[in-house]
Amino acid sequence: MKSLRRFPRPALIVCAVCMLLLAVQVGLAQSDVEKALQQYGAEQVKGYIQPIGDLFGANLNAGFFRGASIEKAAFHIRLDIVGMASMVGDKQKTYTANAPTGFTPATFETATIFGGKGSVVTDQNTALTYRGSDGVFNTSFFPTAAPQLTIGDFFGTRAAIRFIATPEVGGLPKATLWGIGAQHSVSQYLPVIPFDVAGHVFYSKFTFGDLIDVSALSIGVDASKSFSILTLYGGLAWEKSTMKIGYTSTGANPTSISVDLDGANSFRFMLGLDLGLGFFHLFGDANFGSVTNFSAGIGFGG
Amino acid sequence: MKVRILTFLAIAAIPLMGFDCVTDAFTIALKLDPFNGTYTVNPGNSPNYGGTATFNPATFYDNSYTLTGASVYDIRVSTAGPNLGTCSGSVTVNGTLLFTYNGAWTAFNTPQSLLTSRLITRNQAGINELVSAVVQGRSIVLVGAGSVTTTPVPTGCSVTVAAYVQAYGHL
Repeated sequence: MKSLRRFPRPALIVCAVCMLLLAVQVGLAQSDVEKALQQYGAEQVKGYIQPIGDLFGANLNAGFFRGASIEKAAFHIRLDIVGMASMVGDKQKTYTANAPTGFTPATFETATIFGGKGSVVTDQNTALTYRGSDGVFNTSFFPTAAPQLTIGDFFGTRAAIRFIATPEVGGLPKATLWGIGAQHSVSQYLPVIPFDVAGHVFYSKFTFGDLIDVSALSIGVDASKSFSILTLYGGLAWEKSTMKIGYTSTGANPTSISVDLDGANSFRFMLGLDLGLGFFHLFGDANFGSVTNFSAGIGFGG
Repeated sequence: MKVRILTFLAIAAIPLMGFDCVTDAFTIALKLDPFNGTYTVNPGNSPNYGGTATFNPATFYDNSYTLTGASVYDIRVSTAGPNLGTCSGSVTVNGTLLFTYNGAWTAFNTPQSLLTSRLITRNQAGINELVSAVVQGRSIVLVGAGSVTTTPVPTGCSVTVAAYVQAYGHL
């Protein structure tokens, strides 16, 4: 509790807002999304919800650092409120679904969970029809938010920790988002480079009861250059994310379904700007890969 | 003051980024279990068989959905047991002819689909009645009747019919 007093009340309020946002997200997951998923078997559901795996995975691997300047030994502590948003592109809005066995054509394009109206496929021989579900989310971006604490610098290394959780309440399972990682200064070994360079590894995990389990890993090289109160930063990263979803399908013979979805992003290029106003920071960055992602927020500390 | 402005912006922005963007009354396709009936061909010299199967469609889906439509996307017929010659019959739904079938018993040993087989003929009025009953939540009574050409009938022979229906609804 004593450590919390190091940060201004507004920072703690924003942390609370992050928790509220997380609660809203998981609440929706429990109600509308889960009911929609229950209509699908394991194979059919993958295409419909794959974009969630792509976008959530990209979010979890975003917004970890605001620069690559790390001292060999110095006190550094900073609390950031990081908002991450992955853009929902056209390729996230439709997928190729299987028509019922015997239909001609055998597949059809229809809406994902982020799409519009579900399509109707008509069998060429009998004129019987089969319809895909509508999308659930009508949005151009998929958001996530989390507070992040960075602490350093020891032996040219800075640690980053994310944590946010909502308790089990009202029939909703406990939700937890946490992440841990580190940046290590490369510049200390290469003093001739005119900008700061660091390497990073970050691991994140989000769990929502037994329903959803997402893990993400990012390994990359970061660079930054400060100009007065502005710091230009960027990086290249390899990443991986996996989302596991478990639910019980409806019908006369309910079946336990467990689906693993690999996120689309495996590589990203990132460019961002941090504005330092003394104790406060404003930052934002754009991330380009299979999924386009933006992260932005405010920071308190060094 | 600067702190308050920044805090206000953050608090205002983050909920705006949230999922206050769930599509109104989005339609979910509900894949119902098939409405099926198995009619035993009784052992002996009678070539006829038949039976009735009754369903409450409301038990086929999560009742938190309000149905807005339905469609029949397949009808299948299959037989079990040794060759009984030619098999022909019909199925009605709530008194309206749904489909007829006619072909070699052994052909139906491999399930025949309306989508790919010429051995099954649908009746659109019956299709409409089945769809209407599902959407309106009325009881569905499938009555099957048919005959085979080869007797005596040994034990273990039966005809199974199934109507595959997809419903659409919103929460």
